Amino acid sequence: MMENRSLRIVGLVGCLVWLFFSFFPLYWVFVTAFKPPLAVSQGATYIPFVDFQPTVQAFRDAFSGIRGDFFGPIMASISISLVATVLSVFLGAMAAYALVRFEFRIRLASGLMFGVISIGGFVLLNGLFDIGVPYALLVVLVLALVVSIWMNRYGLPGPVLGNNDVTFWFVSQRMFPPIVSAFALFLLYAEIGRAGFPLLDSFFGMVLAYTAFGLPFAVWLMRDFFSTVPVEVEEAAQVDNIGRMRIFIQIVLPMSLPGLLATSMIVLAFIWNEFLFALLLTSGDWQTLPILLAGQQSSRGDEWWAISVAALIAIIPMVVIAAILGRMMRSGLLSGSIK
Amino acid sequence: MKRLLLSTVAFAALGAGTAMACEPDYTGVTLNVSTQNGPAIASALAAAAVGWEERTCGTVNVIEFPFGELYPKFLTAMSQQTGDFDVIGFVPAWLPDFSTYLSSMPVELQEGSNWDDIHPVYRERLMTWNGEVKSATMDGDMHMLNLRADLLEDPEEMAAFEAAYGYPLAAPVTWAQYYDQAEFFHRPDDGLFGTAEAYRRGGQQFWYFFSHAASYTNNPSNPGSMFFDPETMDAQINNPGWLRALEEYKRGLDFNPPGALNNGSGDVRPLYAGGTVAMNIDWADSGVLGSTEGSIEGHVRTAMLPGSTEIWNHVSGEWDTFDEVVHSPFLAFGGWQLAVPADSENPEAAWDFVAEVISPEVSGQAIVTANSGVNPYRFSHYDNLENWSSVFSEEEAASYLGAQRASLDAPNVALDLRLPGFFSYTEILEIELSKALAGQVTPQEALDAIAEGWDALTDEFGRDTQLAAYRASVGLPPL
Repeated sequence: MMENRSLRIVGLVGCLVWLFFSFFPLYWVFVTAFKPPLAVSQGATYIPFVDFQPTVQAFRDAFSGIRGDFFGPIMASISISLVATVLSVFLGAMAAYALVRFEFRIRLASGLMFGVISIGGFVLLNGLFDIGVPYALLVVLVLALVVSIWMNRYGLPGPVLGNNDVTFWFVSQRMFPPIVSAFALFLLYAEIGRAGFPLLDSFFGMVLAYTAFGLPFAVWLMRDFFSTVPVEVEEAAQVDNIGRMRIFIQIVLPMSLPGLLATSMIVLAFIWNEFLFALLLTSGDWQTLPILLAGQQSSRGDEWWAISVAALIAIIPMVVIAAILGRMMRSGLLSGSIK
Repeated sequence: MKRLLLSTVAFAALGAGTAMACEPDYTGVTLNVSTQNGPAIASALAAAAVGWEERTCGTVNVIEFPFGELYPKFLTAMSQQTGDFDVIGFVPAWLPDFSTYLSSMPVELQEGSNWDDIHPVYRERLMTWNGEVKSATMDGDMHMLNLRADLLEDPEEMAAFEAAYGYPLAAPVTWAQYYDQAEFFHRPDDGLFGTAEAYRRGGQQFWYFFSHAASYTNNPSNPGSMFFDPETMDAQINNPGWLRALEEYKRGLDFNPPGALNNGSGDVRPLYAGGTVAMNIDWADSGVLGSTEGSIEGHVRTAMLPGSTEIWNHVSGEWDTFDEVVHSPFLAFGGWQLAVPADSENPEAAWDFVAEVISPEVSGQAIVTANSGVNPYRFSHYDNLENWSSVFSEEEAASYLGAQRASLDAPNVALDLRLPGFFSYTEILEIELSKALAGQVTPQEALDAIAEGWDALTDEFGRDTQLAAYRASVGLPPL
C-alpha cells in the first residue's frame, strides 16, 4: 500500500513537472505580450506588477493596424484553412477508403509511360510548338493519364505496384522540402495567371494548393481508421443493394467520425501554420496569419512584445476549433458510433 | 428652365470640384505598395497614402511582408512579371539584384528644389545604379554613437576620467577613446555597463562590424577598396585593417552587459534608452527611444562614429598614417528606398505616389512621427530644429541632427556593401564572424575563411560581372 502511494506521488510530481514544461512557453508568451520594451531587454522578468508594470500598448498597436492588418489575415486564414481542410479530408477519405476496400494493381511501366508522355509532350508542345505552359500542361497531363490507364490494362512487363505502394506514394509527397513544390507552384500559378485565370493571391488558388498540401496526411491517417471499420456492415448493406457511394457516405463516414475529426484537426493545424506556400502564393488580398506573425520580426530587431501579441492572436482560433472538435470526439454519441 | 439652369450650375460646380480634387486624376487607379510589416516604414507609407488619395482620387493598398522574406518575394514577383506591386519599399543593398526589373525615375522628378534638397550621398550614390536613378530614398540610415549627457557632463565623472586617462571626457573621436570610455563607465556592480553593440547572428551584427572596419579600411587614397579590390575583385576582408576592426569589435564584449553575444540591434536600443549602458552604437532609433520612452530623457547626445589616424592601404600593403583623425562614418543599411517595378500597370501614378512620400512636407512630418522608422535624408530635415520639439530638447535635437549631417558630409563617408548576391556574401560573413566572436576560431582564421568564401562566390557569380557591379556601386567608372 505504502509503495503504491509512493509511486503515485512520484507519478504526480512527474506530471506536474511535465505540466510546467508544457505551460511555461504559453505563460511566457502571455506575459511578454504585456511587457513594455524595457522589461524585455533588461534581463528576464516573470511576474506582472512585481517584476514589471504591465501595459496593453502592444495590443493597442496590433489592433490599431500600425503593425499590419490583423483582421484580413485572420479571416483569410480561417476561410482558407477550413475549406481546404474539409476538401482534403473528404477527398483523402475517399482515396483512403478505396485503398482499404479495393485492390490496385498498377504496373510500373504504365507509371513510367505517364512520366515520359507528360514530360516529353510538354517539351514538344511548349518548346517546339510554342504552346503556352498551362495549355501544354493540360493537354499532356490528360493525354498521359488516359494512355497510362489504358496501357495498364495490358500485360506490360516489370513490377506491379499494390495498395501499400500507392499509399506510400501519397505520403512521399510530403517528404521532400516544401520549397521544391512551392516555387514550382508559384511559377505555374503565374503562368496560369498570364493565361487569364488568376490563381496567385486568390482564395481558389490557396484552397487548391492547401488541399493538395493536406491530402497526403488525410489519406495516410484515414486509411488506418477505415481499416478498423468492420467490412461485414458494408456487406450487409450491399446485400440490400445499396450503392458503394451511399455506403461510403451514409455508413462508413459516420462510423469513422472520430477519425475524421482527429484527421481534420491535424490537417487543419498543418494548414493553419503553413508559411512558405502562403508567402509565395499571396500578396495583399489573401495573406494568412503566419506571414503576419513572421512580420513582427522587423529590420529594427526582435520586438518580442509585438511577436507575443501576434502569436496569441494566431493561436486563439486554433484553440477554439480544437476545443470544439475535441468535445465532439469525447461525446458519447461519437465514442459509441463505431460499436 | 430653372431646373435646367440649376442642373447646369451643379454639373459645372461638380466638374470644377472634381478637377480641383484630382490633380492629377487617378480615379479608379489602385496602387499596390509593398514593404516590410509595420509600424516602421509601412506606417509612413500609409500616412502618405492618405494625402495622395485625397489629391489624386486614386487608392493605395499597402501590402506588408516579413522583412526576412521581402527580398525573395519582390525578386520572384518581378522576375515572373506578376505585376503584383506598383511600388516596392526595399533596402539599397538589393538594388543591384532588382535594378533589371525596375523602371527609371522620370526625368521631371530629377530636377527642381525638391530634388536638390535630398543629400547628395543618397541622391547621387544610393539612388542610382549604372548611371540611372532607379529608386528614391525615403529614409536615411547610418550608424551613430549614442551618448549620455548625464555622464559626459557630470563634473565628478569628468574629473575622474581626466585623472585616469589624461585627456578630457568628451564624445569619443577615435575608437581608442571609445574603448577608454567604455572601460571607464563599465561598473557592473552599479548596474552600469560601458557600451552596447549587436553581436548576435541574424541580429544585424555584421553592420556593427562594418562600422568598426570602415575606419581602418576605407582608404581615401583608394576609393571603393573597403570590401574588394576594385581592380581585381579580390576580397579585402582578411587584410590587417579588417583584422584590427574584428579584434576591437570582439574586445567590446568585455564592456557590454552579460549575454551580449545574444543581443541584436533590437536589444541594444532599450539598453541605452533604459540607462543600462553609458553609450551604444545604433541607427537613429536609440536616440528617439531614449528621449521619448526611456529613463535618460533630456540627456540624449549623438555623435558621429569614431575615426582613426591609421588606415590600411591594400595597394602598398602598409598602414597609411594621417595627422588628423579621418572619420569614415558608415551608412549601415543605407535606409529604405522606393522603386517602381517595370511590370507595374500604373507607373505614372506609382512615381507620383513616390514623389508624394519623399516630398519635403510629407517626409518632414514622417521623421518626427513616432515609430515611422523614417530618419532624415534631406537638407531641410536637418535644418528645421523646431520640427523636433515634440521628440527632443533643443540640445538633443542639435546633437542628433548635427551628428547625422556631419556623417553624411564627411568626405570619407563609407557606403554599405551593394552587390548582386548580397545575401550569399553576408551569410558566409555571419557564420564565420559568429565563430570568431564565440572564440571557436581566431579572428584571422575567421577572416581568411570569409575571404576564401567571398572569392569563391565572386567566381561563381562571374568575376567580371561582379567587378563591374562593385565598381558601379562605389561610384567608379567601368574598367
